[in-house]
Amino acid sequence: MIKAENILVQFGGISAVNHVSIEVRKGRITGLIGPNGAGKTTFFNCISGVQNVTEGKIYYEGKDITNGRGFQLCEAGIARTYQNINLFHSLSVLDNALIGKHCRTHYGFFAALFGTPRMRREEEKAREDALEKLKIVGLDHKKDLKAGQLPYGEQRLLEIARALCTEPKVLLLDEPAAGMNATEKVVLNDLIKKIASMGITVLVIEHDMDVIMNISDYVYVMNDGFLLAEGKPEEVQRNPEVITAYLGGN
Amino acid sequence: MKGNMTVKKLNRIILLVLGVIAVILPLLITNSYRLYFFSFVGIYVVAASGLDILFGYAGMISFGHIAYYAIGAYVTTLLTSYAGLPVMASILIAAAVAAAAGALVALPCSKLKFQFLALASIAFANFIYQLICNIEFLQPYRGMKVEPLSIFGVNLNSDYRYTYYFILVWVVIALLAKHMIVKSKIGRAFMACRDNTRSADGMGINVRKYKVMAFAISTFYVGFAGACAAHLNELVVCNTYVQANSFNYVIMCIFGGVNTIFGPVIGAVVFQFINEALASATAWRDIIFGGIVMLFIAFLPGGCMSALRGLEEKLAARFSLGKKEAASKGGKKDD
Ligand SMILES: Nc1ncnc2c1ncn2[C@@H]1O[C@H](COP(=O)(O)OP(=O)(O)OP(=O)(O)O)[C@@H](O)[C@H]1O
Ligand SMILES: [Mg+2]
Repeated sequence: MIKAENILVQFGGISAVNHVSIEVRKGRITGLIGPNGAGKTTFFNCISGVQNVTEGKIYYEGKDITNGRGFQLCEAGIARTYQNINLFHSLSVLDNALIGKHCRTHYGFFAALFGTPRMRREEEKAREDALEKLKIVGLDHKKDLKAGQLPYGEQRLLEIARALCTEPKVLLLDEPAAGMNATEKVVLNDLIKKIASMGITVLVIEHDMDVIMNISDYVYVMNDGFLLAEGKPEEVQRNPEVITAYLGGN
Repeated sequence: MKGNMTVKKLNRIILLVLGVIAVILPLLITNSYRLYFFSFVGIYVVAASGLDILFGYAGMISFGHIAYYAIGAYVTTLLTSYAGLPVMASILIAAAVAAAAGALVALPCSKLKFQFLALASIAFANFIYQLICNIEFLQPYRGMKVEPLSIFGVNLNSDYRYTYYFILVWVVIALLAKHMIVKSKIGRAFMACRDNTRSADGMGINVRKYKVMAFAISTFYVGFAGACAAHLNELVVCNTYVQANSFNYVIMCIFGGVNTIFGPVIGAVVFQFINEALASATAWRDIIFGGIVMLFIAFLPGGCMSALRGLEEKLAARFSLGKKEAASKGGKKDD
């Protein structure tokens, strides 16, 4: 689905991502773990068009999308959530979800101006779908609240709903469990599995070993910009280098 | 939910009252200068609403919108005087030219941060002002005569009641259009770009395109207002278009409340009244406007609209409470 080859990202002299190759297979939940500053988010930014790579190539469904623009990649079917929550804070929960529907709602300026039947039909469709996606994450009853008023954990869920609204083929989740309590984490795990069962390929960054081992089919481990290990969760968990990196990191 | 319904009802009532006042105003006022003045209020409502699309919704600032007001004015003057176009068509074309200018300016400027955008807009307004002042052909200082506002060859300015209604119709159209735009996916895209550029991009919104679009729509409004004003005054003089006058629109928006349909309306009306009352004391006028802006930014950043909303919600709560009490009392009597 997504194939990143030999990605190098340099900030000034430092290599945040150092010749990393990762393959995200269709229909799977792929995990990406690593200690703080390992370069996971930077790698995500490359795939989602936020960050240009210094070297390397990224392919999506066989097409070269290296250094593509964010909004185009979203339209192509790559959606993401952010580690530092990036919601539209002053807008309602529903509006946040509706903005996710932006590139799947088809009408132009004049249709909007005159409120044509097509515009109304498209808006109605977008609204229904947005509400359905909010329901999946369990926020439909809070649709009129401002996004900024939600507790932290729910803001993360809203980010996921908003990303789902873009009707992605691949969903990139950057530490979705950060700041969540134990019960919320359990709900989140089920949610991620549910998303995968909807036929959406998932790539998830996670600090929490237990979470990643629980949900992912395949795991990549990054450390200090390098790819340290990859494999099935139980293999990676036993890998002595990974254990050292984590113990050393902590 | 119920409270919301009552707020909506209250809104409707307020809207109805204001609408009725606006419509019957020429029956109450016969002084033709006053009617001219109220026509101008309408023009400023359009301009301020235009700035709000950019400032309140798309989160970009312009301290140079007077430039587009000027472009609208001079383009329609030239088109009617030299190309012999009918006034209404000419006004719309002038607004489109202003919008095109806005889009052109926005193309390079849309990447600028807020404060640099503000500087760029000031520079552009000064550029346009100097341009006008230095084109001899436009008779910048003596002023250039402009055809009176007219439709189908009928001179509306011969009776300012007609002028007033003409402007009123366009005010309603402008507000309706703004309403349609801001509640569509386009308006949501504007607000997304305002709240968080990065995730707007991540959500499939072409940020640059929508910023340029917001600029173009905004400057269309202001260009339209400028063109109408030229035909209302029947004269264009360069000093109307000094950059500092751009702040008037900003003051109207801040005063009334941005990111709303009726905020800029209130702002423009109040602004024009204060402006008129202090017309002979310009120093005082500037001090008062300066003071008002500072007070509003410090204590009521949402403008009059946010204060009104708070009041409305309180009223609505009281109403629904009163009703409930009445209902429960009624129930007891039945028992
Ligand atoms: N825009 C930037 N400019 C300079 N350095 C950066 C930039 N973004 C990231 N870095 C550096 O790149 C390295 C990798 O950061 P990154 O955020 O990708 O790590 P991470 O694996 O996501 O860490 P965490 O688990 O803390 O989120 C860090 O050393 C960081 O300081
Ligand atoms: Mg990170």
